[in-house]
Amino acid sequence: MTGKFLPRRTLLRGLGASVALPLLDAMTPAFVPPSRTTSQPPLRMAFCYVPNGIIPAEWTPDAEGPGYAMKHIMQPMEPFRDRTLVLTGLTHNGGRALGDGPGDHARAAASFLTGIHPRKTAGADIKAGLSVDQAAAIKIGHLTRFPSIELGLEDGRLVGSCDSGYSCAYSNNLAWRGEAMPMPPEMNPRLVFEKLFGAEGEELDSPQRISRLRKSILDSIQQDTRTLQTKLGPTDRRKMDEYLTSVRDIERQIEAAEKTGRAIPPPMARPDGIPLDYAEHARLMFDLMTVAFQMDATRVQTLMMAREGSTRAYREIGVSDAHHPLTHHRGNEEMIARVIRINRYHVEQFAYFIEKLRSTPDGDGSLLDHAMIVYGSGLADGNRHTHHDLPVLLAGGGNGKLKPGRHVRYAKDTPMANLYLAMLDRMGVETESLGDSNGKLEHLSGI
Amino acid sequence: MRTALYLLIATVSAAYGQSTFRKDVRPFLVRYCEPCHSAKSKAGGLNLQAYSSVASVLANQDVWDRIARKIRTGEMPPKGTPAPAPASVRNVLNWLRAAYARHDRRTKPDPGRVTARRLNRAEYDNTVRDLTGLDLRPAAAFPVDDSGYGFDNIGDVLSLSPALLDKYLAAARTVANAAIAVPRTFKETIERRRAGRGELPGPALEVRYNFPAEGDYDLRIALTGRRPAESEPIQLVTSAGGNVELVTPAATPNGRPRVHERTARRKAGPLTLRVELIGADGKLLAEDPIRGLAIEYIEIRGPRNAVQTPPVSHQWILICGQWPGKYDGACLESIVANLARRAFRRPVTPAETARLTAYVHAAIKDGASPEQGLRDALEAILVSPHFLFRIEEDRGKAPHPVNDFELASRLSYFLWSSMPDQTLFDLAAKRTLHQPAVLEQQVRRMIRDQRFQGFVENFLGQWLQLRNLDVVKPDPVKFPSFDEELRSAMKKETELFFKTLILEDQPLLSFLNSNFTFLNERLARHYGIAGVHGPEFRRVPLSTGERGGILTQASVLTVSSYPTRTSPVIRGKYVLENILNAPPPPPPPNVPSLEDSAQGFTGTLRQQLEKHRADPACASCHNRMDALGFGLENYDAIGAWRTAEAGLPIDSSGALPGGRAFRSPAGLRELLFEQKDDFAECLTEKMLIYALGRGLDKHDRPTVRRIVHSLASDQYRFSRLVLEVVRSAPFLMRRPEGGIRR
Repeated sequence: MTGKFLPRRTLLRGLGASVALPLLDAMTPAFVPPSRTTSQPPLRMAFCYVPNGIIPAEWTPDAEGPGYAMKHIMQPMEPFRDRTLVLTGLTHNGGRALGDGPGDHARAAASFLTGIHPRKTAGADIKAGLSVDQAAAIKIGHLTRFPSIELGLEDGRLVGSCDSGYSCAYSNNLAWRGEAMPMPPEMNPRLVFEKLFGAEGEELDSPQRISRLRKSILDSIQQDTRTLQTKLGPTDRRKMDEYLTSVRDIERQIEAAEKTGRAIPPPMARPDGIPLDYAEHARLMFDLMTVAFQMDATRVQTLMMAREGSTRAYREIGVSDAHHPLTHHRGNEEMIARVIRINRYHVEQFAYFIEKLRSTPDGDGSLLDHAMIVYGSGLADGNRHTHHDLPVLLAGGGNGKLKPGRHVRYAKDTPMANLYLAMLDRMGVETESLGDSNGKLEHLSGI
Repeated sequence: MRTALYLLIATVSAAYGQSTFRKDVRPFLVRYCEPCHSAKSKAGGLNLQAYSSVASVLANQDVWDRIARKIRTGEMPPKGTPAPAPASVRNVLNWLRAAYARHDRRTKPDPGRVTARRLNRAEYDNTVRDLTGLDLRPAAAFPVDDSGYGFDNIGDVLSLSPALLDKYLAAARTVANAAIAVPRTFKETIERRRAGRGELPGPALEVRYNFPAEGDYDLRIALTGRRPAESEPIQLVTSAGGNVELVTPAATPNGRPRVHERTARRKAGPLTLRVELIGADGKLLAEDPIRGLAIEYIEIRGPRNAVQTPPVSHQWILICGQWPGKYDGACLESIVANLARRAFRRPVTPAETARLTAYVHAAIKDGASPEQGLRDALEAILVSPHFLFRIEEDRGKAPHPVNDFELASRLSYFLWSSMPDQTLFDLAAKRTLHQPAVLEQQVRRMIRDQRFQGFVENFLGQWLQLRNLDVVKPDPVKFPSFDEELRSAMKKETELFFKTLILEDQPLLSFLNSNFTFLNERLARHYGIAGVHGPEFRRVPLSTGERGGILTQASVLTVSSYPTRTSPVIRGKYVLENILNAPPPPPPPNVPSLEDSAQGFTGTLRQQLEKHRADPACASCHNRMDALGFGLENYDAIGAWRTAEAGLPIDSSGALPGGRAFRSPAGLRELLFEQKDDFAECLTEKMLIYALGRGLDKHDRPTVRRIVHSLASDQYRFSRLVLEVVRSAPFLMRRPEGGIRR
């Protein structure tokens, strides 16, 4: 850990948001919650993804309704049983081959938040679709500093094609801003921290000056790019469109930061970087996600707990085999047992997040009361690459719009996207359809 | 022999054509192929009855290239069906070559279309380095670039999300602040560093600290732990940037931390400080978290008597006036123009210069210094699309040569992963760069330049997947000898080997089989090769047949393994994809999944895989993959030589597609060595993809064939390959996209 003794006054400069903090004073442990004079705290949503499926036999509860017994993998969630909905029967048809052959891992991740069957391509023309988090971010993102935040616990694979002719973009990303624009997750807790609280910078330039400069730069870039576009062919023009979209996003973030910028003291130490230990990494990210909700810096977050098809070895819990090959256990009991250990380990981390949200006061209750947090995988049985009966949890009170504490079983092949439609509805984001949805998922608020 | 063949083709090509097709090829297809590959049965999705004319063949060259490979290697027709006489196979192949040759002579080359390429992480870092002279590597914080066709420099795939633009803005500020110094004073600060989060204090602690200015800094090292009075003496060793600075007896704390303090003059910039506790045996003290002596923290205080030394970047950027603060209007403008020209890699218009210089004047008007204003202009330059993208303009509708500045960038990003240098800019300005003699001279110069390391890291690193070596995690229980030292030695061996083959302009084929490599003591021990002492790498002759060529190097063998064991399937696939240019297709949708075919079956890995291959649906591909992988089974998952696994002797015999058998890794290498043209074509395609920043399609077949042909006629020399790639139509030209908006 870095214990840093700063000069009396240090300038913290965030992305666009620039706040000067008397940091020594700020080191007081008491955290001041953002003042919320308005009645109801906002509703937030987050999506946590685990790769390679979850062993169904140790996940899916036998009984339905409130009295079900949690199986081994889910047990870390036992303390939050009354805050959790277990949803069984949801399907991502888009994850299935549908004539495209192998590539279930790539499709599992690409379909997970989009409900889309991604185009099979190694590069040139990637195409998935708008993801649920981005659908919300586009509509309500202007209310917060960041429309959405995308996080991950594993770097994308460095080299080679990712899954049977599918571009790595599919297995590395959950969030899709548009059908060809994945939103890459940030892996480094320190950089997330600096996004929220600002980086240490020089005192020389006043934040106002930098903010003014940035606006002027972004403005002139847009003019430049538009001029440039007139000389380009359609494909290059599309590339520049993508760039312009990003420029406008950042411009808007700078403006939002000026309007809503609230200098609050960081409730945690500045992380050093990416911890080697998985649990430590996960917990730092969950701390940061909690803080981001708490500051109302964003209302939409995604976390990829490992990239789809991940070959991470979980030595922290004595599993030295690579995760993905292990899930192709072919019925081998020993291998299954190791997969179960990994599955449960992931849930343990998630339970930490839920506990964190539950213990963070927010308005008249806790953050958990005002959140909808999805946990799941785009594969059910990793051994057989199944895309039905996906393992899905929905935690949180949803501002009273959910009735947790139950295991609900849906009809076979109910689109997972129906859940997203129901969530967007509760977020106040009117949406006709998302991916392959055919209605809003029922029974979330009652039987 | 291939050369002779081509001469033959050239002279008799007129004789080949439709009549030969009817006489030699059609009957061959009917007799040997169409029993399975007919319109009705379409084995493997291939219907050969559809090919009734030369034109139909030429329209599907990618299909026919595969067909040619299969009948040449004897993979097709399969065992158990009537085998054609070697002479009739030759006739078919000769006809195809001649038809191709004629086709290639008559067709205008299609350069294909390249999408504007965003700089990837490596290119961004290198470009910033060559633009400013500072090796800042800001891209470490950028999200991973997605790759396509095996490389991460593909224009279509490189997207630009808001998150990335965010990072570009931050990086631009960081670079501008570092590259242009503003006169300032330095306050004394205290930085205290401890063992990493969750770690207990240990006998060594390393700190990387960016010293803000040249000045005096106190280094305070606090020790903790208890030791009996009569214990052996312990030395405290402090090193800076790898050089030992101080050795002193360590004080024994007995409860309260004891602090060693020392003051030293330090230069500005990042420096790694390492503190170690060394026992009487000269080794690092064992960790004893309960009572042992350990380093509690390192503290750096300073600077005092600070002197601001201007960064080296000033000589690249502040080309007139005097730092600090003395620049007239014309000078500011030329500083900005020069920066923009180099950053945009092309001449800039007066209007562009004026818009950028306006940032400087705006800052000065705001009461900021000219240096702050120049920083602003640099920040604006570094987030401009003209910097972040390599943009080439379409001129007209027909394919046209790229201009000399665009060519300079194509060359520099291909061979250096960075921006052009002054020489290239000058030649572009003179419009002579595209002249064949100049081009060749520049390519040869660029290969010898140290920036060529960019090619080694990015091309080799991705082609052979060496980059994955940085992230592989072999199981520490099964492979206790694997450590960071070995990891970096593995990579170094392959890089040095590759660079040497290039610098000595050896034939490409030496990649596959060579009688030397580069080793240091650590790697030599890993290979069981005696007589190599010390940490530095040197050229070592190989004589035993156990090693030689990239497929026997630990780097390649490790990245093609699982953490706990080898995988003949992965290794076989690796060889097919990266060496033989015959990537196996993904399993078809209707194959039974592995678990159904192998449920409950146990046995050695080889037995399990053989069971798997008993299924004909799996066999067609796995016969090729697994057999190649078995030939490398003498190397374990971190590339060490072994003759037995789990008490059973290793069986490293197998056969290539087409049936040629080998009995050992050396035998496999010899067979691969004979597949020169497959390897040459494979490397040609990979290098073209990398050089062009796009995938290849059937219009590129003539280009590939031309390059492979000229390689064969120049002993497959590496420099010939690079030169031919650079001289190819796709590299020199551009095909505009229709519909130009004005």
